[in-house]
Amino acid sequence: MRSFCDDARIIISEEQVSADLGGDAAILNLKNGVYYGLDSVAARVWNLIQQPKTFRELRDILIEEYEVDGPRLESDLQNLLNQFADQGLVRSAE
Amino acid sequence: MKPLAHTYYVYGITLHSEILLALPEHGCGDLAHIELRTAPASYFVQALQGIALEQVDGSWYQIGRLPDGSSYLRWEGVGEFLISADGRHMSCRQFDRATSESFQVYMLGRAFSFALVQLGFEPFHATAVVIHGEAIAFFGSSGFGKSTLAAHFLSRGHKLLTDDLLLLQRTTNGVLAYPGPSRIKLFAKPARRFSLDTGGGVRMNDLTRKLIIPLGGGTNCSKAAPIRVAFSMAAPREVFAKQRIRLELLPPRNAFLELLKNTFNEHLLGAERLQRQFIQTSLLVNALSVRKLYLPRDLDKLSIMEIAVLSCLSTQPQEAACVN
Repeated sequence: MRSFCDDARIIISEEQVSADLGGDAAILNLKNGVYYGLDSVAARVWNLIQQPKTFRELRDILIEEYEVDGPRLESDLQNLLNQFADQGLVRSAE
Repeated sequence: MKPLAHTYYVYGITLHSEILLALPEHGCGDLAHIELRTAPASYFVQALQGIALEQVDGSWYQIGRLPDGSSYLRWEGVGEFLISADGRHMSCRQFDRATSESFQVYMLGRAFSFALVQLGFEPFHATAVVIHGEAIAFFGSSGFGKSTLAAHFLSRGHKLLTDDLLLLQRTTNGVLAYPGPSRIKLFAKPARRFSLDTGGGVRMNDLTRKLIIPLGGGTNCSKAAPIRVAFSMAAPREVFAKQRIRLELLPPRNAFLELLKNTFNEHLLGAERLQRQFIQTSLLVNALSVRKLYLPRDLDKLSIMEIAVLSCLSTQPQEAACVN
């Protein structure tokens, strides 16, 4: 699993389309025709990275919004972004 | 080129046809225009030169995609169709053994769905009835009981909007459901139970006893109707015979998946179409209340189902309801 450093800029792929569904979200990867469902937390992250953000910026925003300890949030965020990257939905730029 | 002597209205589309069809000659058809012409066998033979036909899994029709983007469909014993890449032109040939009723079912269903998708619309596999001026849709694959449900509502004095193919359009005021052909497809036994006249019914094809039953006498609605409520029918394998009827309000994400999987056309899979389908479906989901309907295959339970369904039209949505 890759590890995103604080300054890694998370950029969403242009080859996808997404929709808000009552707080959750769905994404269609136009490259492979696969659909993804996001729960409300993942949808919030996805919404935030509609404009490129660094890992630090994402973490700092989310730590304010969710009642979760820092290390847990960081681990979950790394995991989520890795899943996005594995599916070709995002890329990172240092 | 032969003149298109007839003009019909179906699914909100104006259909200019060379041949007579069992469709209304008055109505609303402002969504798009399609031209339908007949063609000889040689026309299709020439068009298909070098094209490999694909036999669709689990069905008995063949599909071919031509380099210019047009689509070819063929049902043995029924007919063949060629739909232009822009969806505005359909060519057809009815095979000798086919009845006109059967031919029109496949033409205005599967074949027409290619034209609709190419024109930018998203047809669904659903049946809809109109109750007190409002449409209710039942989504589901073939054999899930959509038409049987609709026949029950017809027997209760309500009207059929469309059977099997449903076109929805999001408007500034909500969602509109458009009327289909005035016929319903049912087996003889449930049709007789709901007092539908099977005398005029014709078998869909040689492989089934399901009948194409024309509707008249005010049993069908020929105008678009607003729709707020939809039901996605659980597959027969998901529902046990003695299970209670259950309605489960779906969160938008699940409703989205239910609508997506009930697309009427799962063959046109280009990125542009998938993107459009995705966006249109998400807009619909945010405007409709969608419930999963678990209905045992028991005609005696349809009256109870009716009560449950009608209650969804008038009340605040409930998370889930079990009905005895």
